[in-house]
Amino acid sequence: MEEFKVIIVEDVQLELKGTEHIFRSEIPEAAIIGTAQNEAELWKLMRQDVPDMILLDLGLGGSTTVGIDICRQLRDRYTNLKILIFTGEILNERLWIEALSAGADGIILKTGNLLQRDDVQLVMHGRRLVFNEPILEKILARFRKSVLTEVQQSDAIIDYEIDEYDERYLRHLALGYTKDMIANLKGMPFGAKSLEKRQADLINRLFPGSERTGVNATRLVTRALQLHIIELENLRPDEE
Amino acid sequence: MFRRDMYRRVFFLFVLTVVLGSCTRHDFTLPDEFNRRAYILRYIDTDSSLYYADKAYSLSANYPDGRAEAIGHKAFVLYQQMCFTRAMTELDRIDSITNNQVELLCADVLRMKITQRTGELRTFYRAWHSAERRLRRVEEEKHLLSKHLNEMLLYARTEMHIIGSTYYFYSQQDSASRAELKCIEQDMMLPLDTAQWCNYMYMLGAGGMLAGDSVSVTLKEFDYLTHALTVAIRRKDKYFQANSLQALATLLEKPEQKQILQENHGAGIDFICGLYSQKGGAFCVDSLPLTLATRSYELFRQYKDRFQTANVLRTIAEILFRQHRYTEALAPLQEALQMVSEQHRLDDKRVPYWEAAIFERLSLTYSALGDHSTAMEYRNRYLLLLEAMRQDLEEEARAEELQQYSYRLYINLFVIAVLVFVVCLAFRMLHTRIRRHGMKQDREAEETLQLTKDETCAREMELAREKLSNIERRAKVSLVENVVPYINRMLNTDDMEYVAELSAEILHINDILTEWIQVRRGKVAMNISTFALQPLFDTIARNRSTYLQKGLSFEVPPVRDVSVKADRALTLFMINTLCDNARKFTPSGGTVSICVQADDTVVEISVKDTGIGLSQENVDKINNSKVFRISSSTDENAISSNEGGGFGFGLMNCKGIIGQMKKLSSRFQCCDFGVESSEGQGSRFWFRLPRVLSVLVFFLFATGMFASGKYDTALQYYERQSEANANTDYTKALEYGRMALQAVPADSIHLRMQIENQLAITTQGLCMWDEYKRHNMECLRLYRRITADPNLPIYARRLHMVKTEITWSMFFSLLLLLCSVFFLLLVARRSRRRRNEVLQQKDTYIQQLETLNRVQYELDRVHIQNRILDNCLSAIKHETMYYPARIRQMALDPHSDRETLYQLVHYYNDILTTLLEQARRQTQNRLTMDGSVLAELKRRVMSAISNVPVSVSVSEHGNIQEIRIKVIRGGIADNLFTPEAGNLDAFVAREIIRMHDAACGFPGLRLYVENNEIIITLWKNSRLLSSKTFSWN
Repeated sequence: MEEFKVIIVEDVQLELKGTEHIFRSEIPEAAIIGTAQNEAELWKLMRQDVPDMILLDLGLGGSTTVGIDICRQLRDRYTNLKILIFTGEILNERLWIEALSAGADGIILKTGNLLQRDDVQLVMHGRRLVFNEPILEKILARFRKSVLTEVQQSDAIIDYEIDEYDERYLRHLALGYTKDMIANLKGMPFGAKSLEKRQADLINRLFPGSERTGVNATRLVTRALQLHIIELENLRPDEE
Repeated sequence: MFRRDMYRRVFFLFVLTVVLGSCTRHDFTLPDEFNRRAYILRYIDTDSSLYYADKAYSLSANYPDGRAEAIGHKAFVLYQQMCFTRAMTELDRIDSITNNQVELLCADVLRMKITQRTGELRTFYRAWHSAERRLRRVEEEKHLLSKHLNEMLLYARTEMHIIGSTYYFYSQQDSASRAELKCIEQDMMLPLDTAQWCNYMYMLGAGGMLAGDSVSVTLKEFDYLTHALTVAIRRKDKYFQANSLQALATLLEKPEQKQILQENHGAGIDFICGLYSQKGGAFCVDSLPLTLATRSYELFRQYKDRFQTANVLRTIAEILFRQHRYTEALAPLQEALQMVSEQHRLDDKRVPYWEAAIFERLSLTYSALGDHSTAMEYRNRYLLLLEAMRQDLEEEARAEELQQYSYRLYINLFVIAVLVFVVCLAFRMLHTRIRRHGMKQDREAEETLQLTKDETCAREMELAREKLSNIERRAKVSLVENVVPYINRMLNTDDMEYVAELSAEILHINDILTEWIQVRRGKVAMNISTFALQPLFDTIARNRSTYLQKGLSFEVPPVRDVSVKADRALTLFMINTLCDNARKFTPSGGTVSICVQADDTVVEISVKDTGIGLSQENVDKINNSKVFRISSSTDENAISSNEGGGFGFGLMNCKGIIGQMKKLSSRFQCCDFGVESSEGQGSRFWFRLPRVLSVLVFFLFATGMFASGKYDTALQYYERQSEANANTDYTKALEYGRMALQAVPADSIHLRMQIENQLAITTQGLCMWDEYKRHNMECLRLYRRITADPNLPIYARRLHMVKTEITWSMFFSLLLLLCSVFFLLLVARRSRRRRNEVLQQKDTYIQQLETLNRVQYELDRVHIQNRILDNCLSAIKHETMYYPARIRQMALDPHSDRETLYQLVHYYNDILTTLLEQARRQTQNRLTMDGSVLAELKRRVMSAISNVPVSVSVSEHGNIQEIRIKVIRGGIADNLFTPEAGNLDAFVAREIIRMHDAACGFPGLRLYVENNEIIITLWKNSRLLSSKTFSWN
């Protein structure tokens, strides 16, 4: 790794000390050309010398989110600057998204292994979306959940023998269509009467014997949603 | 004078000629003879009877009486063949043919017979009264009648009374029924008409007509039936022979009556045995009922009477049924069913009770054969028929009510006419009173509204206070969060000096926290009140469906008179938390139940489940430590991923809340929390609260509550009973049914009937036939009581009176109408205006109530949040005080063991993370921002700089509003808003900005100090700033 200049923005003195220590001991290539404890100090430093990289804490002084605004302004003014977010906002997932859309190159959470040489190196080599392990774990958990949901849906369609028309019927039922309206959909070969029959059949398939009595359309749709046969995200009507 | 005499003579001569002429040309003896034969043969052979009737009819073209009589015979045969509509049409013809009152009387009597069978009670009564009227008239001139007509009269009179007796018998008026038979006792001394005599004997013997002890009644009944039988045999009378046989079969079939007869009347039985059975002795007696019934069946069959054939088939089925020959019993019933459908084909008119009896028997038989679904099907058809009969009755009753009303109207109209004048006079007076009353009502409504408004206002203020203290707690939590990065640093460094520094900083933060928490101490944060547990339980019970969905049963007991002293919202929260936990950790098929045990001072509320339970280690953790995390390694499969986890926080909160209560005063010393559990067996979580005995209130409402409570309990049991029945869980249903029967108040006949009905189904399902019979009879008795219509007979008598009076009524009505219209118009105008006012008032009131409910809900939520946060914060304060100090000590000591140090840091980290995670759960949901929050921001900022004089300038940049606050004298520390400053007010202000930021969805708002100036940026378009109640200046 070539030598580079860095500015650390951190409002807590003690933490700043720890971070400086990490740079000194693990990333000797980095030359810390300044540290800022608030916004004003940062802009002052930037006017003096533009670094290659800024390690930015999101919460400064009175606001815990002001870092987002700073990041946005930095990205507007200095296109080639690397911005690495170093934050203690370990739960505020929304803030991560904000940071990324404000132009941050990566996010390191102040937990687990903290800042590591590899991460800084990657950022300096121009890699975007650099995350440390705790945040990656969170991202992966979300990803796993969405994949599992898809798997569940395809499993449910096989388990409950849902054909294309069943799926369309349930989806439109969920959208508030009446049987007559569904029967009039393009490419729907069934009349309202047959749909009624199909609904009874669906109820038999989706509900165990003891729960079948008194199942109405709403309950059926809810069940279909629970079984992931239809998904809330995909609730859109067919073209008519 | 002469002329008049002359006319009289001519007229007399004319009449004489006509009479003599007709006598010579026609001979009436032949039709009379044929009619007589038709009459004699009517119970012997319907075909022959019809043959003679037809013959008599064709021969009596100019003999209206003879013709009418022939039609009567024909109608009788049609009646026996169950062609009721045709029989009625024939009878109607008689009215136009003859004026002979005896013939018409006979027609009326036959009408009674027909309508009694088809259940058209209205026509029945009409015919009955007409018959009675005619009878009275004819009896007065009895001596003028011919011998033949006298015979007919005898028949008509006896028949009418027998029908009447039957009617009273079926409507369970036994004494009236006996009285009817008593009327013809005299006629029957001499058996002039053997068929009627048989009929009379049969009526006496068929049961229910005799009073006395069972032995003598049975013996007498047996004798009457044997008499009827022997005479009928002598007459070759199939109908009464079969009838008597059927009645005998029924009599002999009952064990106790059989025993009485065997002991006291062996000869009689032997006689019957001799007549119908080849075998003798005891075997004969045992098989006798069936033999007799079968013989009766053959006779009815020959006689071609579907009605009675089906009846006797039912009797055969009953006998077989009682002998447990269920499969055999099915065949006769099926045949009977066929008869029913044949009858349907023949005639539109049905015989509902006839069909119903067959259906009931079928239902029972199928039940005995274990085919419950078919049994239920037939029971439903049976009940449907009963319902249809009831509806018919009701319709008739309604029509009758209407008629009666018009009759009453006639009388009332006179009264009303007078009243109208009075009312008109009183109108003015009344009007002023109404207005005054309205004003009073308005005032009262106004007061209630004002009270609700005040209440809402008070709650809103409370909510605002709670909200602000919530913000303060959030600030404290975020202060604690500052510790987390330091601990992480500790874990990632080996520089002991740095560790010492970090721990010093943590200690500093802890000190600030302690100081802040102490500031708040001494304020009672709980809303202690006395409240009844029942409404809370009702709220909890509303969640039942979520338990059912998981396949769990959820039991919430009624606790009518238990009141406790505690914080209502928190108590609800605790019960809810424990129930939720139980639900999560109980697999499908289990039970979650709430129990309440109370003595005079303490109430213990516990939540019991049959779930996976807790290991001893976890039980100890919960009972003994303040901070714990349950390791749910026991059975992870049982917990679906979206429900698992988090176990422990709820318990920790409950324990914390109880701990906080305990600290309140000596009154709450009894408060306690605990758990008993064994792995795989389920758990019981309990907490105790001080009880308040609400004796006074209880006595005041005791009676009312008791009555309605009883009804409710019965209703609940009834519902469970019917549910169990629907699931064919008959043993359970029986238990519930009996409990329901015990609980049901005497005056709720409807519910009682329903319960009896369900019990009948249950006992039928369980093949408990005696019990079934009892419950079914009771059900039908109650049913009749409900549907009984005592007005029906009166109606028939009054109907014709009404018709004449209705014209008069119309006249008066018109008169009154004119008077009333004027009056009504006036009143209507007033009342419409008044109603609108009242509606408006009501609307406002309901809106106000809704607001109150909403505020109360939010208040409860924030209140609970605050208590939990209190709990967390105090736990953090207590539990983590020691560690940083110890870590610092070890870091500074060069001889200390590094490994122990890191273990300590790890442990500290774990505890803090657990507590913080719990606190964060509470701060995750957003508070609604409003003017009061901004006011608080100002208050806090000013308080942070000790309220020194300031100058404020406000400027706007796009959507951002910037507020600069400059201190006129002195300065402001740059780090005012950071944790190091340790300024609670500043920190709370920071928290408000943070929340505002999240609420606006615009990260990047600021609150900082620069050049002795506090700079605040706010989002301009937020609700917070649009508030008109506040401005910075």
